[in-house]
Amino acid sequence: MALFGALDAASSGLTVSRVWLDAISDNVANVNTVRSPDQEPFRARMVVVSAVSRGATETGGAHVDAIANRPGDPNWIYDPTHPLADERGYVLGANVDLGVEMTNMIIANRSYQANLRMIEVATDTYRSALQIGRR
Amino acid sequence: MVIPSVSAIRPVTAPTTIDKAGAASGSTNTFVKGLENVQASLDNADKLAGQLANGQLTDVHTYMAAATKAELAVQMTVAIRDKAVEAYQEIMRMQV
Repeated sequence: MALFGALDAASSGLTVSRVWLDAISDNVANVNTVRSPDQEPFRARMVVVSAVSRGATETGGAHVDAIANRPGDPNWIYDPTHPLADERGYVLGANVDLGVEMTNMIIANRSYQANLRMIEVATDTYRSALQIGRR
Repeated sequence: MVIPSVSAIRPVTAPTTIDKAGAASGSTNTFVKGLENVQASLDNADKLAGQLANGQLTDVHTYMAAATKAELAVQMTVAIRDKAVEAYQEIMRMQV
């Protein structure tokens, strides 16, 4: 537990929320991206987060391990006039659900705000501690 | 009755040196270590400010958190100094 450890943990939480927002932004931007069926379609980005261990020197917090692609069946779209369509008239759309992304966006936004508030409160707390016995 | 012989006057020897390091090893060394930590957090904030200015840093909050930490560390140092000076002055005011 380092000095001002709450600030470090909250800062790592902010980074996670920021990376998550980036991933959501990427997904929303690619909601209409289509590829030809012989290519790998755009898959929604998912942030893989793990907890940082907490000990004598480590302050805990969260860490982004990787950005993974959402698995699942590809989103087949029938559009024979599309230049990328195969001989059967299909293209592959992105497996992005706009409803899910919007919900996640709100959660990520709130998560960022919560961590910011944590920093604010921790700073105030440390500052009040420095006022003890001051005349 | 035994009369002890007068012992020779011992030559004046140099006073034993005061072990400054030993005397000061308590709070002072801890304080110096603390100061080094404060300096490290200030350096870290400086480094991040530079990275933010030239676009290497992608997270604004990383710098803000580091700057807040450095600020708090300096305030803590000042608080400890104030307490130490206060204690010293209190002792200096003592009537002997």
